[in-house]
Amino acid sequence: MASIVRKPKDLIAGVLFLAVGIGALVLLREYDMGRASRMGPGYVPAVISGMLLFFAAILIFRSFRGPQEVLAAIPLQAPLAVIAGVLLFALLLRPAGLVVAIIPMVLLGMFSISRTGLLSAMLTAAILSAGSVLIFVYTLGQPIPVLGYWFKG
Amino acid sequence: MIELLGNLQIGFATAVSLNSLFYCFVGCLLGTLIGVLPGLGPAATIAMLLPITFGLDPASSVIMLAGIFYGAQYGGSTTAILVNIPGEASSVVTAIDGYQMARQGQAGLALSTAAIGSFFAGTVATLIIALMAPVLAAAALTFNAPEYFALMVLGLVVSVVLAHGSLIKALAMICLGMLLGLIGTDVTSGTERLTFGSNELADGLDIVAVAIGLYGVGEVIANLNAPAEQRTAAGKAITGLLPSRADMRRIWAPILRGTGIGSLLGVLPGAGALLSSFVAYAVEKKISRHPHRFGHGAIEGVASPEAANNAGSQTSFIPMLTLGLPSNVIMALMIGALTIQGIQPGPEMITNQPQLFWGLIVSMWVGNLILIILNLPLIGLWVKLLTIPYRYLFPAILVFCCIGAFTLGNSVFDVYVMIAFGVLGYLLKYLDCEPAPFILGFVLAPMIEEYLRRSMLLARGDPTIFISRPLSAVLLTLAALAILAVALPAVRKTRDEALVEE
Repeated sequence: MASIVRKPKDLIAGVLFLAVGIGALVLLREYDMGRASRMGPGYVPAVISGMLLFFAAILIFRSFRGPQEVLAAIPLQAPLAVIAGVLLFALLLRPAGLVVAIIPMVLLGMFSISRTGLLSAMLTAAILSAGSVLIFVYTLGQPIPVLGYWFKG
Repeated sequence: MIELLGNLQIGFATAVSLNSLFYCFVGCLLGTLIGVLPGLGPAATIAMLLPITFGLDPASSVIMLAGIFYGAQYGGSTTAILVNIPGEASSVVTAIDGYQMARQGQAGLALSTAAIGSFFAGTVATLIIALMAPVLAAAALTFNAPEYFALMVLGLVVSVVLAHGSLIKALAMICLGMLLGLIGTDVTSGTERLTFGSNELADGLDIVAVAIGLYGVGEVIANLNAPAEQRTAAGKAITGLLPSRADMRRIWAPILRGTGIGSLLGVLPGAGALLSSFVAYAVEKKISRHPHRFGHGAIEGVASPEAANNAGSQTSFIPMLTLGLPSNVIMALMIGALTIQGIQPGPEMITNQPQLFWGLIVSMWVGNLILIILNLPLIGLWVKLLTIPYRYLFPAILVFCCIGAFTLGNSVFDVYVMIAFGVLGYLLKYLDCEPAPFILGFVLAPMIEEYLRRSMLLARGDPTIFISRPLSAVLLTLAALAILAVALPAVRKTRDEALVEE
């Protein structure tokens, strides 16, 4: 069954680029454009935004033509778990430190895939946590907080 | 010739000290270790390991980086042969015949063929760089702003032409990358642009954090969705490492051809290394008297693309070293690393930093040598690493990514940048938008802006300056022709066939 939108991916990408281009142009209003012989800080970004809008328009236009393409659903479960885990890492690193911050990231990631037992996930998290402290902090001397300010009253 | 020997001597003095050898060795080892892990290409590997080199002196850091680079490349071919997982796009063709050889019990032969081919190609390409770089750098010193601008436009255009997929999407990705690359303080006026008032954005987004996000986190997410691969070859004992005399007779010509193709195509921006391995494979298949053997374990199908791939990735250093222009993501990361060390890559580097310049070139060769010594005995270890299920590997990769991003500037902000680009990368990949043009646009944007401004200042706002100067006119004409050529349906079809990925 053919719908009006033939290339849904192109349409989404086009709309995305369009939104970024318009957003950038709105933000760029506050900067000085200057003129071609003496360009202000806004000149080149505005030109690039214009080009982005142009390509976005072509993408959107062409998404209504040609043979029908199907849009496969974007898998979200594993990506969301991984992103949530990394976000937790970022949030916990300063207050709790490297040792703690790694644990929820690894657990969330591993639980996002089925077949992973609680014990093996915990063990992986513990090994990675201890291992990275050993490698990055003690061997390579990277200044990463091992324990955060929560533990230093 | 005498001059070349003298220069190489300077290089050897830098690269063969105990200290340098140590860092080269560590770089190769780490690069291979991470590069062997499935789903992590050289770009992600280098981005993750970059921060480790920040604490070293410039020479050691550059040498270690070169080691990581070769290790990562090499790791990609190893996994392509052993488990049919190309570590990067340019080992895709290696997997075709290499994996078949492995399944027929010739894994050792395939690996050593790849190693010998790579080493030979690396040696030749190193000599080419040593010969070409001074000449090109001298020529580049006469370039002015319009020439640089034209050169960068040509580079961006060629990278799009050589990429696969939709031309419009690639062009849009370049624009998106350029826009994000301009975030931060404008050098000329000191104005903070598009920073949303954030102090952390005043210096712009860190290219390494962006690359770790796009290539590291993005790939992990994509891999989690892919069905678990079959890993049949792993676990089998690998025997017959060294090629026999008869094998050598079969591979020397393909290696030579691959080296030639790779050295030539590697200089092109964008998919230089990728294109060279595909072309090398196609050429071997075409001239072979037994083309039907290809795809069923033809040793030529491993020897030539591997040589081409390595020669190409080596000569891709030429634009970076002589013009300061990155031709691909990896070179962009290298420039980032050099800049942090206070070295500006470009035509002046060869005269201002001869020890470093020639040291880097010689260390490329030393790195290739160390790899061949290191890897053939250690293949057993890499195979073991590959038998670890992905569900245990990807948490480790995530940890490396996070720590890598954090140590860039000891700031959690870079971790957030990494996350944002991980999400963006996943989304864009889903929409069939390739990240490579994005990264090139991102890196080149500030330079393009600067040279455009200078040109227009020079010409008092008259854009004909780009046409009235012969060299920039030629470069821009080439760029226009390249775009036109891809837009034509006939050329488009062959291009899609040449760059089709399994």
